Amino acid sequence: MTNTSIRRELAFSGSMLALSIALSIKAFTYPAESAQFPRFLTVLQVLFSAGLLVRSIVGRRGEPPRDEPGRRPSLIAPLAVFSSLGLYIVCIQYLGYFVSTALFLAISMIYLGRHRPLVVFGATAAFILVVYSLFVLFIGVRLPRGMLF
Amino acid sequence: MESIILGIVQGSATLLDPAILALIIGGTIFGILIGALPGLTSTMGVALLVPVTFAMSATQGLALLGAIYCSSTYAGAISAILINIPGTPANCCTILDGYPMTKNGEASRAIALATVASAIGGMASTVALLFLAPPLAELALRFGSQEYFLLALFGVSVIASLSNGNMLKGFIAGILGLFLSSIGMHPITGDLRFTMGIPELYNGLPLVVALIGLYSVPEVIATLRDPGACAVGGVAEVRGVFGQMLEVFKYKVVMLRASVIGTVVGIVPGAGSSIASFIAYDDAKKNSKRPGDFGLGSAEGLIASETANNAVVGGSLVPTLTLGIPGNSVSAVLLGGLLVHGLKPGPALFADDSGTVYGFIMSLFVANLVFVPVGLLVARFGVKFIKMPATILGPLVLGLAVIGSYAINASLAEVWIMVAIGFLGFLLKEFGMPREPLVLGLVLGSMAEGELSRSLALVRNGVPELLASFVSRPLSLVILALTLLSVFKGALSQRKRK
Repeated sequence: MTNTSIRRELAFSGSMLALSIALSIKAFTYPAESAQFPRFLTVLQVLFSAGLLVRSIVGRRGEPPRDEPGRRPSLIAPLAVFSSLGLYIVCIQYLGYFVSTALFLAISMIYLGRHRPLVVFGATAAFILVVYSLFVLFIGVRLPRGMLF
Repeated sequence: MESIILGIVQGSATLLDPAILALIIGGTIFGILIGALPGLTSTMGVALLVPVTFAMSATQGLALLGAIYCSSTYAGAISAILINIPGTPANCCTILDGYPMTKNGEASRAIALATVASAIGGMASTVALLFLAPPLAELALRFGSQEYFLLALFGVSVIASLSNGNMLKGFIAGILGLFLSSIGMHPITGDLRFTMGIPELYNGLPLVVALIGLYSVPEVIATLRDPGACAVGGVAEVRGVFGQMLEVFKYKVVMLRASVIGTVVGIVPGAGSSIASFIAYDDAKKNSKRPGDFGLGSAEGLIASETANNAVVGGSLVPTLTLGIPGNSVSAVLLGGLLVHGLKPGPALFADDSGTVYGFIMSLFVANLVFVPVGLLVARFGVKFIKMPATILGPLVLGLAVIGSYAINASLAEVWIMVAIGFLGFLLKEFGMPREPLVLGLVLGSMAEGELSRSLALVRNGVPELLASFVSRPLSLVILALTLLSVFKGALSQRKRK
């Protein structure tokens, strides 16, 4: 294991343990009759998370860490995905579903490196057409309307 | 036996509805595109289309979802053979001989063999589903609350203990899934738990929304992180496949063995298509007259792998329909589809909704026939589409995830829930936690909690008496023993791997 992966494993198991303890405390605030199952689960989760933490620490001691840098996965893609999804959903409330979707798809594709207008426009238009026929015409879902339509 | 034959006749009659046939064909086309596109999985395909089935009857909706399941499991072979990237995890083993066949100039032969072998594996397991499910359902009629509670724990423990190399993380994921299912109102007292004041969570975490988030967002991130994975060079031409299809019947024994392996592996919760195809591949190699050809473009290896992964489809639905315990993550989503249509999987399903259930099973049979011509046409003409870059595919999948989770209850709050669960799925993937135990926990959690509450209500002295009843009831004892055995075997195989 590299230093990076050991640190990641320790951070993960530590966070899981902290989360499990917090949930366990919360589970014990509910009436006993309604909380038997969550209590049972959160206590189990505390035990398993503690086991994972102990294993990470023991593994760290048992195996000399290598200094070679572990390839840390880039955070750009997840950040881009979650921030664009957040903005997209907020936009739906103000601009309506179709305008927001067209903007989301077109901007995402351009940001990701698709610069040919025909490809971007074609894919966006095809998607909106499919959603309109399937969800609005076929299922009858009322999609959010915005300031425009 | 009579009831099975009656069910088959009843189910076949429902297929005369032209709308169902059209849905099977539409689902097959969608499933093939999902399966053939690297980065999109069968689970994601089925989850994204569950909301679309709301406007349909239960039989129509299930026929659509079943067709996607069958065809997407097969279609991963197309990209595995032509561009050396398995379209779904189920087709990982197919690249061992599929791509070498393409390099040897036998792409058309490989596609023809894989297509027919997949169809035969799928149909064989559908027959097994028809004849195995009803007797199992009869046995399940003897189950009480204790047995159902233990069965839910058994399902989660089996899938957790099979988690690749990390059983502890598998258990943590499984328990997390069970915990998430306890969000919302208590099934008996009505007390609210862990809802954070969000009204959309009062009735529990919306299952389909959670599944969409769990399987679409992390996959898109993974694809965007490695867009080069799809950027391959030239692709071999696929021509004259129809003429080469009959060759598969030279390998009847290989297909028979792989069908049995796939079906049995499918029945075991959590084992999955990729495991089945590797076991069948290994079995075919051990029994082959030319084991040296394996890995260099062996038709036997390709056929064994493709027959087995499609045979898992029927197998995985045996425990799903009869016990409500899904065999894998796709059948877990399908279980969600059944619940959405008001069907309660379990022993009574075959008696109460026999027309729908047998119609669904027979539709799987038809779907396995339909994907043969459709798959061959996609392989012939849709290769460019298979190479669709992640930069276009990613935003489209996210767009589908948003509309899919909104459409269920026309609620933007549920879209936020989908994103939150997507974030959880991303974290799990990032730290090597398997998602399958979490999905199974989510699906089985409400059953486990309900049955636990009922079991506790039946005993006078609370938990100690409940624990005693687990040991004193023969069926409970068997399930408990199987649970402990699966944990023990998982721990043992993990130790061996180390």
